This record gives sequence, structure tokens and C-alpha cells, in this order.
Amino acid sequence: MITIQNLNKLILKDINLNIKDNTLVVVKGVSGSGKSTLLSLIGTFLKPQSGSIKINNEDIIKFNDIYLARYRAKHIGFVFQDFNLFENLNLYENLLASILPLGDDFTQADTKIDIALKKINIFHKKYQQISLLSGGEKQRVAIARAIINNPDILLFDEPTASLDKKNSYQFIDILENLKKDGKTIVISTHDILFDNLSFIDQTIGIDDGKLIY
Amino acid sequence: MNIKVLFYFIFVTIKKERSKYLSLFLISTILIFILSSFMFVVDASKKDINILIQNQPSLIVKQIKSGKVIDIDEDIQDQFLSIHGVLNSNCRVYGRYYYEPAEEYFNIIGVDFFSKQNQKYLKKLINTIDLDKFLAKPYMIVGSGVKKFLDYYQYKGYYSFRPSNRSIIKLYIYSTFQKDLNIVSSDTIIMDISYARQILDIKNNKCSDISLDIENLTEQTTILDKIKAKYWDMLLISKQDISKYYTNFFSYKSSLFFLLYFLSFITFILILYQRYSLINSMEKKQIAIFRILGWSILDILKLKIIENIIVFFSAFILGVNLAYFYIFVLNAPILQNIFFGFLNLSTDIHFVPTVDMLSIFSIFLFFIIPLISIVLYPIWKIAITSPTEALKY
Repeated sequence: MITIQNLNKLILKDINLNIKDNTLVVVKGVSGSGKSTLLSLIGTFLKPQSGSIKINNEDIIKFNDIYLARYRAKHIGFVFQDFNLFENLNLYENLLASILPLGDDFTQADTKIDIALKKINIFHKKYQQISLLSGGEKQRVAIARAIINNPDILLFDEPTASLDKKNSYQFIDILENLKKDGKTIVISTHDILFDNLSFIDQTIGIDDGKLIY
Repeated sequence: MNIKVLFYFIFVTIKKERSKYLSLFLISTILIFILSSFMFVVDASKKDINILIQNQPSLIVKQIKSGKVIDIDEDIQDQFLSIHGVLNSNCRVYGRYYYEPAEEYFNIIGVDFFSKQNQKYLKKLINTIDLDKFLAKPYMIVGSGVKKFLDYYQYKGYYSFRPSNRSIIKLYIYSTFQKDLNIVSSDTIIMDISYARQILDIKNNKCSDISLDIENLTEQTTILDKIKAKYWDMLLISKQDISKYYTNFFSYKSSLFFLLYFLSFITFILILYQRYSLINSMEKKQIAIFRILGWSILDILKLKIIENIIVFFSAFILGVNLAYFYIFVLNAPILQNIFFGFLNLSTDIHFVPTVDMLSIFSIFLFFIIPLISIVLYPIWKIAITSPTEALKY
């Protein structure tokens, strides 16, 4: 359960929001409306000026840096519009960067990496350098990296903005499977593709930093 | 963090970004090489100078006339022996001989092989030669620098000295000094005192100076005052004066060298600081991604510290080893001219390997720690900013 109360940060003004566990929430709004800021705040890597963010009744704003970083590694997965992968490393090494903060050894890390890559159907490119992958493949790696530590919450920032139609539909399939796995998913987008999806639980509209529906 | 996985990840990133680290590694290696070479030369030289000073007599007495040093009467040494506390006195015959072909000077030392020697290296030298053979023929023992010059000018195994009376004294090379005596002996020729007198035009009842050995060094000042009071026209040089001369000389050379090194090091630090302050967008993005993936600020600093320690420590190991090879195997070409330009001949100095662990530790301390700090500060500044801000660049 994510509870946001009286939140203020940059463009966002007095945001109040509840996101239940195992729900898929779509945040809609035009560019610059504050969608990405809201996702960064839920993702715990941006601190609000005022208000509170509670995840499972824990006020994450009060955590110190080390605890918050570990909490983020364990409970939150983030996928960016432009993926933000380490282009000069291969898939295995990119995923290893996500595992490192939790202190897993090589055996545990290898198992996690194999499971994540197989789940997103990109295991065959395990040792391929990221810069050699297509846009759709890069997004799958970014999703694999986000789910590798089996987090409760997954955040997607404009996930289909850099994809063609075919890859966008493939992403929708992946999303549905993640929802079935019991994840709480928040997506910020202005893509009409998300308008009529049956498995979306809640749609939030945001404009000029305020929730409009 | 699992240390094995972390090290694997660090080695992978270093390998993948080798061009970024190569310049750091090369410049660090060069700077450590220069600093280590300098330290090794100073340590080895200090060791040799200490041997040289230990070998010196307690006191040297020279005759002054009209402000000039002139030859001293040999008889006066008996008067010195009558001073309480003076153990023995020696009449020393030596001087500089101009070697015309090379336009350089040799130092000639005349030795009375049948008298008691008060200089340890002379005692050591005499023990190594067969006196019967040495005195049977006009022989001399030469320093390696002298040998090199004579060979170069085709004097194979001998040299013909020309004293002031226009005669020729031909002396044959008996042997060359041992290499560990090189700093003091490279430009030196040792011969029987009678040849030295003839070549240097020193009369039979005269000496270049008189050396005195003092039984109890605490009495040295008293003895010195006694001689000064009795012989107002004598110049007295103590072992401490010689020690001070060399110490000052090396301090001067070392200070100059260190100043130059310090300037280059500061330049490197500034370049490095500028490079990391203007850290490129890729690196900023990299740090931001780590933060989003759950790395704490401390984790990122740990990663960067280990990364830089690996680079700088490798440079340190390579630089120190290269310096060891340069100084103790190659005998420090170029650098030895800076330090030993005061010797008459361009010498064939052989540095005896001397490694002071404290010096090595000092290099490590004064090089690696400032460098890592200078690299870490800009990284820390980025790590504490919001990842979303860093990703915007």
C-alpha cells in the first residue's frame, strides 16, 4: 500500500493518493505536468519538500541514505523511458549492478539473473553488450533489471515512448504477466495504448502538478 | 555488498573503461617513478656519504699563508701528537691533476704503504693488494671514472704523468676500485707517496695536510681550541664540517628536485580535479543509475575508492619497480649527473641497492591519498545530488 499525503515537490502541489497492493495504476498527463516527479517520489530517490510518502505504513522520508538505498533495491523497481542501462556493459553485468547492494554471492546472483532474463525472454543475449541491442530488447533488459530482486513495486516512466507498435504490444503482455505475479505497478504515460486495457485498476490524471481525476 | 562480486564488477568496469583509466595510470606511474627514483638516489647516496664520513679522520689540519692553502711541514705532526687526546697523526699527500685530453681533473692520493693508515677505505684497499707486487713496479690504483677516461683516450693499462719538472712518470694500472667505493673514488688515483710527491710537486718534508685521529670525540672541541690557540695560521676541518658540507649539498639538490616534483604533482592534481569537477554527463548518469538501483552514497564512494586504488596502486607498484631498475640496474643515467655533477669526472657510479621502507610508505601516503581524495570529492558531490537531477544532463 502506497499512501501519499499533502505532498509538495517542484510542480506537484498538495498531492493525496492511495495505491493498493497488486494494482496497476496509470498516471496520465501531458509533458511537464509532474508525472515523472511523482514517480521519482514514489521511487524514493527524490525527497518531497513537504508531506509524507508511506509504503506499507513505513514513512520512507524518515529513512537515512543507507537504509533508504537498501529499501529501494529490495522493494522498488524502476524502468525509464530511455532505459538508462550501462551501455558499455553486457546484460549480465547490468543486472549484477542491481544485485550488488543486497550482498548476494555469485551463486545467488547468477540464479536471479537467469530467472529474470528467462522471464522477460532475453536469456539468449545474456552476454551481449547493451549498445548492440535494439530498443525493444533494451527495454526488456531494463524490465529484467527492475524485477531482479523481486520487488513489490514497479514504476514505469513513459515505457512505450521509445518503442514501435510491435514492441509496445509485447510490453503490454509483459505488464499483464507482472500484474499476475502480484506486483504493484505505477505507469506514467500519455500513450493512448493504455486507455482501454482491461487489467488497469486505476487511472489518475495530472495537470500542472495537481490531480484532476 | 559481497566483496567478491563487488571486485568482479569493479574489474569489469575498469576493463570496459580502460581508455579512461589508462591516462591516469600512465601519468601516475611517471610521477611515482620520478619520486621513487629521487628517493632511491637520496637513500643510496646518504648511505655512501655516511660511509665516506665514517672513513674520514676526526680532524684535518691545513697550512694557510696569505689566505691561501699551502703545503704543511711534515715535522709538525709530531707536535700535534704531543697534544693530549690525539691518538695519531698522518701526513697526507694528495692533489688535483689536470688531465689535458679530457680537460678534466683527477684526484691523486699518495699513500705511504708502510705507515699506519687512519682512513678505513685505505686500510681496506691495502688489504686487497699484494704489496710486494704493487711496489715492485710503478703501479697505481684508479677509480672507475679514471679508468673509463684512460680507456677512451687509448691509455691501455697505463698513463704518463707530466710533473712540473717536464719529466714523464709512467704508472701502470694495478686495479680499479671496488664499486661500492665509487662515489668517493671514481675520479681518484691512488699511488705510492713518492710518485704522488713528484707528480704534484710536493717536497719530501711537506704534506698536503695532516689528519688527526682523536681518542674521545667529546674532547674534539677542546683539542681544536688548543690547536687554534697555538697555530693561528692553520685551517682546521672536523668530521662534522665535512658531514655538514655533504648534508647541505644534498639538502640543496634534494630541495630543488623536490620543488620541481611538487610543482608537477600539483599540476597533475589540478588537472585531475578539473577533470573530475567537469565530470562528463556519462559519468553523472552512471552515478545516478547506481543510486536508483539501490546503491547508497557510501556504496558509490566505496566503488570509486576501490576503482582508483586499483589504478593508482598498480601505478605505484610499477613506478617503484621501474625506479628500482633505473637506479640500481641502469645506474640512473641523467639523474646521477644532477646529483653527482660535483665530481670531477663524469663518473661510473654504481648505486648500492638501498630501499628504505619508510620512503616507500611516504611515497604511497603523499601520492595516493591526495589523489584519491581529489577524485572522490567531485564524485561525492554528484552522489549527494538527486539522481533525477543528474539524469537530466
